[in-house]
Amino acid sequence: MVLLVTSDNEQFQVEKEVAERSVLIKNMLEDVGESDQPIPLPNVSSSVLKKVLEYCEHHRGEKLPTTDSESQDETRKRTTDISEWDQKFIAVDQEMLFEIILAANYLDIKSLLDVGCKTVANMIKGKTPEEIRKLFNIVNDFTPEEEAQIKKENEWAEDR
Amino acid sequence: MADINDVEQKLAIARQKKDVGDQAFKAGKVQEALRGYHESLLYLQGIDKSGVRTAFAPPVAEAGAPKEKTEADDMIEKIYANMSACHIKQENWKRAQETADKALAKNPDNYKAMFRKGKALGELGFFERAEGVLNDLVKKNPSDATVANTELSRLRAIDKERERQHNQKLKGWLNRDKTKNVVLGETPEAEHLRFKGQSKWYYMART
Repeated sequence: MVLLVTSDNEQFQVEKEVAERSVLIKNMLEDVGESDQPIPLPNVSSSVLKKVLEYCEHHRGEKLPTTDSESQDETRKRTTDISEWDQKFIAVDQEMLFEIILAANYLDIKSLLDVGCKTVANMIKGKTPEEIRKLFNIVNDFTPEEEAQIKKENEWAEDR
Repeated sequence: MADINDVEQKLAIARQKKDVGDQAFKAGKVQEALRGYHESLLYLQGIDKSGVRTAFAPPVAEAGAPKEKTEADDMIEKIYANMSACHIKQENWKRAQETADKALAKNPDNYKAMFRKGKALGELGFFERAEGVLNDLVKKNPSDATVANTELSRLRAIDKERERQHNQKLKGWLNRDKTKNVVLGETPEAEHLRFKGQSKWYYMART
């Protein structure tokens, strides 16, 4: 078992196999050996870690992507498909989605980072700039001239 | 969200943990050093959360303007370079290379990390890549030339020896195979098998 401590000082007892979905934790355990000293995660809150561990638990035992499989990396990035379980898992509010992405990056859980980023990509897909601004609360800081210029430059990408 | 005080506090803890690591390393306690460094990293990574710089590709930097390096970046670079030294001591070459690479990602001119990466690559059997890194080091920092070149000739000797052993093994294997084929060739059954095999290859090539 591994003891994880979150930024809000909550403790989580986690099975080693589950915790090691995080390459950050896996490397650390490999380097320092087994011990019952807690692992501090000062950049993850308990509500987010709970979600992340749910994901790790479900995907335990699956093969971890290797660092030197670049071609595999390419196909992984090209698709926005997300499995059914993952889709249900990631159906959370935007704030949580954002926090999960940050935690996945911090803990180095590639597949979860993918699920999070693909979800954001799917949210953007097919929307007009105005709709995207509304979705993510982005203020339009372009002048009308700038906007016209960008539209002209990207005309080739428009659906006709 | 991450206010200044929070960041300052995390930096302070990170400094202290790194110090623990440095002291342990000096005392020759490699595993303890690694623990200190890992814990320090746990505080440092993701410290500038507000920027979200790390989660997504960094915004395309203005041409020529180097990205501002924070104190956290600086510490991360040093920690990874030191971790690489720890792994070299334990002859854990793969991790030595990985950590050296991470130090170099923060600063491509970290000469110590370059040397460690070269050494680790050589030990892992990637002699040509090791040669590239070490030659690069000599070019960038000529005062490291002696050390780098000594290491390079040592790695070259290892590589030569590996190749010699490999060739010998291969030769033995080929010889054994040849004698087997001769024996097989004498039986009609083997002839038949070979024919079948051939036609199969022919078939596969056609489709």
